[in-house]
Amino acid sequence: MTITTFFSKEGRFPQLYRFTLRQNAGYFGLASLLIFLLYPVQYLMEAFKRIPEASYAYLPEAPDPFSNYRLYGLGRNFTEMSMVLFTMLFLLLPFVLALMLNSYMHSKKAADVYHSLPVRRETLLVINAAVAMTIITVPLVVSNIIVAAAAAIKFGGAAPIGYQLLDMLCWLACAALIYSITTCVCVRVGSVFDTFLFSGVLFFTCPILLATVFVLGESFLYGFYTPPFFGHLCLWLSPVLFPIDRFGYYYDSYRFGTGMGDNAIFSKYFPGSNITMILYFVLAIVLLLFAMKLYSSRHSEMAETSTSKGFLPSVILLIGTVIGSIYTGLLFYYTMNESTFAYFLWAIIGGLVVFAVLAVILNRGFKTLRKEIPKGACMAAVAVLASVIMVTGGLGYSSRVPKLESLKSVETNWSGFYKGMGQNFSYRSAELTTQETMNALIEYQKAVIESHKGNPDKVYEDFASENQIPAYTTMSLTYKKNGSAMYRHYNDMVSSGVLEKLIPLEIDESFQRQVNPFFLIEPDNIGTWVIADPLGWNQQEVTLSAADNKRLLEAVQADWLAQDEASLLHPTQPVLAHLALRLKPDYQDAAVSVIEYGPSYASVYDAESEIYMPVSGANTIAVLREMRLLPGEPDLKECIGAAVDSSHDYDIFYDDGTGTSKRRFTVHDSLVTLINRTSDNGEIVYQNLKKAFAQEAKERYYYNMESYFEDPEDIKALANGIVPTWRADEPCINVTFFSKDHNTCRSVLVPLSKLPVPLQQKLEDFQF
Amino acid sequence: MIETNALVKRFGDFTALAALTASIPKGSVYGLVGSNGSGKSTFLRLVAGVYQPDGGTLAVDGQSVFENTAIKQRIFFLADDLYFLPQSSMEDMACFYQRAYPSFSREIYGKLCTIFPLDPKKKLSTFSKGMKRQAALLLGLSCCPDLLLLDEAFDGLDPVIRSAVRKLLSDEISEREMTVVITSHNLRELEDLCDQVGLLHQGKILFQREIDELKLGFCKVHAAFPAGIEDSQLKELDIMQLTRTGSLLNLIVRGNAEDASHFLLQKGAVFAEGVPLTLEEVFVHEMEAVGYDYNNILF
Repeated sequence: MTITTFFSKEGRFPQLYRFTLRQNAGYFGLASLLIFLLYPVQYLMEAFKRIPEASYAYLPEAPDPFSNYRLYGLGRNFTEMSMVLFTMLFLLLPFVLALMLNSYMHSKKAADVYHSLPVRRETLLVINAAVAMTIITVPLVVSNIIVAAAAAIKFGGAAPIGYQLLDMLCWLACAALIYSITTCVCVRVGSVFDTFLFSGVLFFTCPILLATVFVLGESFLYGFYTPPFFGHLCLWLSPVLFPIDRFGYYYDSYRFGTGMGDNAIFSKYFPGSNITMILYFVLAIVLLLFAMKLYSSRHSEMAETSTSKGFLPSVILLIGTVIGSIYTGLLFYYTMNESTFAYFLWAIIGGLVVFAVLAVILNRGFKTLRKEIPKGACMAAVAVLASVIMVTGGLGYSSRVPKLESLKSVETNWSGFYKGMGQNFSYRSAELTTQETMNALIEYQKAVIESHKGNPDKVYEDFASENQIPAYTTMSLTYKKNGSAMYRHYNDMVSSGVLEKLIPLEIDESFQRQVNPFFLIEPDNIGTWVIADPLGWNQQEVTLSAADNKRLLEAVQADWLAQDEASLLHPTQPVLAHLALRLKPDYQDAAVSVIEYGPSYASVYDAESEIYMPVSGANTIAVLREMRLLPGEPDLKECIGAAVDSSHDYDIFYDDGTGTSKRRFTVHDSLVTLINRTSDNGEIVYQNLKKAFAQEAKERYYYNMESYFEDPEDIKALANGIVPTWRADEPCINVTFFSKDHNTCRSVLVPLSKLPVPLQQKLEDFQF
Repeated sequence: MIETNALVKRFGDFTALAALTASIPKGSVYGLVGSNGSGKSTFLRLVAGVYQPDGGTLAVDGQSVFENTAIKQRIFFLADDLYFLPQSSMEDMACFYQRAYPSFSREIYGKLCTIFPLDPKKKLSTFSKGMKRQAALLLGLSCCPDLLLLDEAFDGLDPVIRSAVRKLLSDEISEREMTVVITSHNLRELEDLCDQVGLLHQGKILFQREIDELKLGFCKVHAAFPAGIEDSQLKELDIMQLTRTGSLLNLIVRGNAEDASHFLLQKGAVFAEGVPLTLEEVFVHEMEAVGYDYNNILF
């Protein structure tokens, strides 16, 4: 068969194409109307909506012209409504068209007419495909032209029309593939119902099977890691899910290149997504050719018969049985105390039940069910066997640790102290190549496995007996070898002793240069420095010259790298100041927040975007002193009370912002929390809260059953105990000193062991 | 025109046609009779290229039909269960066939529209069963096929239309040497139309004859013997069936009616005359001659 055969000499292809299109003009019109209503009309309504003056006032300053419009998608061309409804319509359309246009082969009467025509079957299939794609493509292209024109008028050069048109190709690729898959199924089955059923299963098979592997891995393999890419891959594996994934990325010229938020996803997955789109087109063509091949030898007598035998139904039964079996097993595994016996038992039962249900549907009744039972049992056994490897440890997967000499590098999400601090740095990961750091990660992994292997509950038992303070850690490791990689992810409670294995990272320059914002920030991007005295009082916000920014930053870096293991866990230098830097507005999310929500929110976001460290290093102190910025010693007589919050340190602590050693980093978090909770009225609430803060805080601490000290001796003892960092498994408290005049104050870290014994006793009595 | 040799078609475990061998000459009207499920429609679908043979050969003018557009454009198949495009009129269907059949003649279509009392613009779904059948025949004839396959084509047609169709078919056959294959489970429908008939039973042609040849071999004679006559006196006649109703004898005998009547008059009949045999009667006796009980096969 050659292509010329489709377009036979007599010109029957174009004639029959035109005729079929005319026959389906009603559907064409309906599809066009719905696409028009759900896509360009929605866009026009949103893009040309009236914006309230209050919001409009900030527009001139807005770097992002879309900030006042709820437009989403790669081309910023979808509203919330169109994202849902247009997606549903456009993914259903090729499916319905394939069912409808090819339904003649599922009717004996119609097959008699069509199959006796002097037209090759392949030609009939191509005519229908061409008609379907016309019905899909024409309204989509016209709608996109309308949207592109409207975007150009409204947003000018900022309108990402190129991306919008690229996205249009993506929709077409998905539609083409959905049509081809459904057509392939059409030519293999005898009824529209079977086509509907089988196609529906096939659309979701690949993502569900892939997701099932990950679910099994996450359930049974300790350290199993599902890289984020595979989440996207699951969506890429189905044309009905692929466009949903693409809604997740959008090109944002304002943020592009900053590695922030959605743009990070855009940069990472967009190329792969485009390749997938091209593959969809190729696959659609290949499947259509395959369908043509199958159709040329299709038995017309299949029409109006149920398809319960053959390759396709067997595959559908197997897939259904495997998925049903595994998920039923998992359901009972989790509801019955993670019992593997329960898993296997219910996996078999679930597999058989799902098989029986599918067999009854495929055979349109129960008559043949008894005969099918052995087949069902085999399929359920296959499903259970498929998960045995996972359930029994994945052939050593859970305990496998790489050899140091085989590694080229190790990538980790661990970012120590600054993890999760500052929105711009939340998603950073580090790639380490030194022997010390790679070995530290291997040793950490060994310790985690060992602690899990011996007795997973030991860490809780130790906590209960006060031997250790456990930490909840989230650690991802990618061991890179020559041409291969090994992924592990540990999301578990570990003893702080295990965490200490990571100390070599904290004092490693290459690691710090990749994760520590004090190393990552460019001096030019520093807005202001906030410097406070050791009690967190007398805050002053200063703006330095670029040269001074650089000097201070380099001093902070030098002090950081001068630390060793001992000074990290038990520093001897006192805290002389608290230093925080705030980024320039155009480099942080705060700017966007101001535009979106108004100026009263700026402080809230500024506060969260601060990067903080207690100052005890000689270099920083020297530079601050030289710049006359080193605060003086606070007068303890001004202190009216000290609130002690020990909950973090007597309880489980989380790795975010803690690292291998303990530090306080929270910037007057109580105030921020209160503002966040009540900031509906903006500025007024904020001012009132500032004034009332000390009293509020005092009442709140008492209410929360925390300690509040007003005895000057106790306050002095607490102030003397302030440290920049401390060993993670040793109890520490967070202290907030309040004064009559200083509304702004900072929580500081005080190890319990540095307090006089009576005060320690008092705290412990109060705590428990 | 059509040559089949050991043609086999199976539907799962059921064999619809088992080694069917037949030959249908060009320009003939071939009647295929058989009970329900005997394989008549299956045979037509195989000839039309709807079905693929599972064994044996089937050739129309020496070429296989399945997916052979060159041959298929000379064949028009009219199934017993008619199908028209949804919401279509006869005019729509004419457009459809015009695009599929290069030989479709607008002229003939227009002419036939004047013969058949049908509104070409009216939706076919509003037509009665007989009208739909007329429309289908009209469209089939408009395609000017060399081979017209009619499956129970006269089912639902009134005598006037039947007669008109018969004439149209005769004209086409004489003008273009069109070959027609008609299936029916009712021999009476075919006897005034066919040149040749075949009886299909259990997937095989049991019997195939020229109509004229069939009718020449037998005759039916009515004779009255008021005084009665013994069976032994009729020995000289090759009697296939004899029934008595009082003094009236009905005989089916081999040979011609004239000789038989003459013989009976000589034996004392007050009158004796030949009457035409129905095709069914011919079939009954031909089949009995080859050892089958016709009534068990067809009814």
